[in-house]
Amino acid sequence: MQKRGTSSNTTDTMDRTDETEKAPSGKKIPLRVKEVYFEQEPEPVTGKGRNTELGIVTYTFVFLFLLMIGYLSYLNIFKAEELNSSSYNTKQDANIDKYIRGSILSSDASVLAKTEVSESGEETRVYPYANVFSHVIGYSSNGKSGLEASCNSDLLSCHASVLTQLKDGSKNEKMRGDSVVVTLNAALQNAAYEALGSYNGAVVALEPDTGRILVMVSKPDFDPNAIAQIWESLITDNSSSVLLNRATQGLYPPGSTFKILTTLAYMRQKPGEFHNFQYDCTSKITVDNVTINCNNSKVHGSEDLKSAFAHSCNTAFASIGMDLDNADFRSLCEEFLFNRTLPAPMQHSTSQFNLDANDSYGDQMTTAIGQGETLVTPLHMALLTATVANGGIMMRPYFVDRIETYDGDTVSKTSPSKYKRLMTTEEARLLTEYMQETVKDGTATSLGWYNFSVAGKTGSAEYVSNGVEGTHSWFVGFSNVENPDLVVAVIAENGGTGSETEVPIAAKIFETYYNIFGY
Amino acid sequence: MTNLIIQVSKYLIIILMALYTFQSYTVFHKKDDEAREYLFMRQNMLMFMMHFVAFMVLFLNISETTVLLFYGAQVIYLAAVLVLFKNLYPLASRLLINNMCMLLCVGFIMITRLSYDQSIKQFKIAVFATIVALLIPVIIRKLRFITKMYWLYTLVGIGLLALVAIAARSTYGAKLSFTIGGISIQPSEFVKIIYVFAIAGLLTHARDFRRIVIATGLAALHVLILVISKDLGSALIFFITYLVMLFVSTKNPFYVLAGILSGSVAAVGAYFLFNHVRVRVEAWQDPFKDYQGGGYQICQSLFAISAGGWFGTGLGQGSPGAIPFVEQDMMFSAISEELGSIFSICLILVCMSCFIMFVNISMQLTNRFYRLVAVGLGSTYAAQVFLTVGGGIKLIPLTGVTFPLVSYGGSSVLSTLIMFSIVQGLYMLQRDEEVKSEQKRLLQEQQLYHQQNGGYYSAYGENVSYTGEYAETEYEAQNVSYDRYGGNNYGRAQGPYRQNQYEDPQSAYGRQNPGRKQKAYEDGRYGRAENAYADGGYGGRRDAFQREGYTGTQNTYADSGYTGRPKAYEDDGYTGRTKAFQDNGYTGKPEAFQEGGYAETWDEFEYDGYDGPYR
Repeated sequence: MQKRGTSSNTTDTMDRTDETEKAPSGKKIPLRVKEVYFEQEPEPVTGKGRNTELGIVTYTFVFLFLLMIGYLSYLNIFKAEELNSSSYNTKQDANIDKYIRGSILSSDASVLAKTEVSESGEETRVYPYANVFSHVIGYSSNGKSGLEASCNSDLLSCHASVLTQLKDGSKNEKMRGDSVVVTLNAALQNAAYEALGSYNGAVVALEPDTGRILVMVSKPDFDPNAIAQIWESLITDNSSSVLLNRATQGLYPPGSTFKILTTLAYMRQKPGEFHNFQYDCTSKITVDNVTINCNNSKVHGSEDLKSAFAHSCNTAFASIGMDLDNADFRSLCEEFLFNRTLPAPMQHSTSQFNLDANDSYGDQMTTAIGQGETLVTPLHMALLTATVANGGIMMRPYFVDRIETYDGDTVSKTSPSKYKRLMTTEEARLLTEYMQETVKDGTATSLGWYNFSVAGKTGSAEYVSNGVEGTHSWFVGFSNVENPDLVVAVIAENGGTGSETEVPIAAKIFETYYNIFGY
Repeated sequence: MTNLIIQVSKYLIIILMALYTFQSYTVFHKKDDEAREYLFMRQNMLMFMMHFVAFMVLFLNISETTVLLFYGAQVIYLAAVLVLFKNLYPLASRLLINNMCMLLCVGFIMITRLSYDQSIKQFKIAVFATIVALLIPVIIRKLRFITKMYWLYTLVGIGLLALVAIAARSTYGAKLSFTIGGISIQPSEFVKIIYVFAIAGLLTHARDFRRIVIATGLAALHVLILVISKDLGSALIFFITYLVMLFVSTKNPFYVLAGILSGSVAAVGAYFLFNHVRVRVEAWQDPFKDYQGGGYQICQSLFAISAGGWFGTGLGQGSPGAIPFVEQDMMFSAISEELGSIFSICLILVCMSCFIMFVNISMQLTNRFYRLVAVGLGSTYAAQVFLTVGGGIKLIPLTGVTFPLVSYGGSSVLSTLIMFSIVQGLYMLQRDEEVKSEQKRLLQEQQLYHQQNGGYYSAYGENVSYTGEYAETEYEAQNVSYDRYGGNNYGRAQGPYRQNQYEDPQSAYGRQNPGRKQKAYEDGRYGRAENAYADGGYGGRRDAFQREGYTGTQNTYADSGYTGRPKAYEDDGYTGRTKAFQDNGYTGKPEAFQEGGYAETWDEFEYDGYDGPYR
């Protein structure tokens, strides 16, 4: 038999001897020849198309290589910010040795947070407004929260000009990190903070046409200057959840403010009928053993949709709720971001809406008036109101107006961006009209005395906590109805009826706004 | 000041890398040999400049004079690799050598940055590996029997892997390496190469269904042992490589589909069977879910990439050390953090350029075995890059394989250098083969032509003067055929009859072929044997001719006939296949021949427009 591993020349010779030897004896020559043929050098791969498979292989792998490049680019473009500000990310802390943490400035040029360096080089983070911005600005020791956390990487990088860096570098000084200029207005925030007074709760105020957040107050609050000292007591206190930013993470029943969505659902589901809606309010409605009362047992009498909305008539809306298709109602609410993540660049809770196709009349009635299982965050409520104010388009809310170098050069600037059109201009116009009626002749008439027009909705949300019943009071609304300037959402925990507690708070904020910016 | 230098240098490094990468691709368009040579030199310059800038920054960071010495040693090493390869193997692919050095260079920079001690260890291994690598092309060229020992390879490969699975020390869950005399060896890195040879052998020498089943079974056995050893990365590489080789060998896409299908089934099975597979997949789906556990490494990797952004933090300015096993498995993320994503993208493109060269070389080879080896090694390389980069960026689950030539790890560097050298060896082999086979074919053609046209000797005497103009025209025609390696092989031999067919730019692959010696051919000379041509001798392999009896003098012909086998010729005609020739004509394909066709099929001929004397 043949040896493997001989050169082709010798193989050739051996073939021949094999054949001659075997020829007389066997008929197996063809088979042998075949075998010999294979054990020889395999026939060369030649001819057209011999490389087709290799071409396919090349393209397949090239595709994979390009996929990697694509995904890496995707990470850089869309994910980097999120990853850099992740609460798990400790990367930026490495920069603490290189950079002095930058300042956070308000849009009206007040310092909200800065780092002071002592003679000996010791750094202290100072929050001049102390409790006023406690949640939204947050803290940077004992972990990080608020804007201190989300802007961490910006505060710890330096985009100062090469020349400046050179100058500082030669003095052997640590670089100053970039400053973050936020949309928050210190004067307005202060006013809102004062107006909320001793109530626990939250205030959110934003510009409906840009999404710039001007105010975000949450109470109870804390002094971030003293975070190290009070840390233990803050985290051991389970009852009041001081560290929770109620504006973004507090989930409250929306109460009557939810009637904005109920009305919209009714308009959409009964386009021919809602204009002719007529209801005779006797202050009470009972279906399937569930009774819905109007506030203070008031009898509203005969009313159309507009006046039912303006007077926040629970019985009228309970009956509307029974007319609605639950699934459609649910999908509308989800379109308005219930059970969804808000397009907001900050940590927030997800608002809840649970009404299923087969739920009872009782559930339908309570849901329609904003009770039931529906829960909402103040930020979300502000966004819904801003959508109405902005003619049906929801803008993405934001805090960071621009990043500046410490000596004032702009590094980057945020432009307002549209999230989505959620309702038609006509729907927005009608809701605005109804909300304006609330101020003219409804539950928020105290707002009618000012030099600016207001459209709004009050709410009194009943809740039961640890067996104790209470009422949160809500107000959502916007000023200068023709061309809305400011949206305000206020909630005071256990504040009683909205019109008494919340409307004056909102009024104070609107008033301060026009004092600052003029009419 | 230091900070300024670091910031400026970071952009400089990116620019240098980008230029280098750009040239790795523009080289395919350069037709002129001199222009190409110039480009390769420029690439080397760019690499050394980048190396210099990077080490300047490293020196500013580390401030130890030993770094400068180390830098010097690296420069000498890289220069030596370039010079040695260029001079010992003038036929080797320069692009592949340049890319190899570039990847090593990036690896040196980054490992020095991460761990100075490890970088010195790595450097020593690289020097040793290079010496081994320099010998490989000789082995490939001289020891032809290596193509036939595939059963041995299979045995050794499976044996080594099994040994690892049973006896190896377990490092962080995976059984990977042995320690012999203080040196840790990871056999799977070497089995990868042996495996490619084994599969190439199995699939070359027979392609019937039975053999495919055997080959598949053996490949599956490799993969299975690796999965049991928890070396998932290698298992995947072996699997992908097998699919590619099977596809190229059988040309049957259904095998590949079947392979992917059964691979998927196996993967799902592994997900439910093995906890370590499940952990990897879950960490990939949501790394933050188990941040402190399975997701930690990938989270840190993502943080590193996002911290670096497009331009990087600058060397020494990031914290890539936070990623577990950064020097072995996560080099790509570390590079992205400090040198930036633009640099990383260039790095991916350089790897892609290497892969394209691997396949390109495979395309030029005519020997089935070598073709499979080249494409198999190429796939191994590409799959490994895909696994390590894709894993690091969370495109695919993390498998923990090294970044070839860039990562820290002796076995990895050694095996990758061997891999590159094998492909270089094959490339040179093909160059040799081409010269030889051209000579053979040409003479066969001549003979047949003249036999059919009334006698060999007279015809020969009339037309051809091997010492004079014939040699020239003949050669010119043939030169053109070198332009299109991918084309019809027979076409080459037909040179003298119909030249313009070579100008027909049919072959897609032929055109992008760097064909290093092309220019030389066009000038009418071939490599070192220039003078031989000028003198009127035929090939660059004068001695080969002499051995076969054709010395370029008429006398030999007159005396003994054409080949080095005068007797056979006189007796029977041309070849050693006496009987076949007498019965049927030249080839083993009697019909075609009788009809007058030389090629395997008529179609090919007709397509090429051949209507020479055979018809």
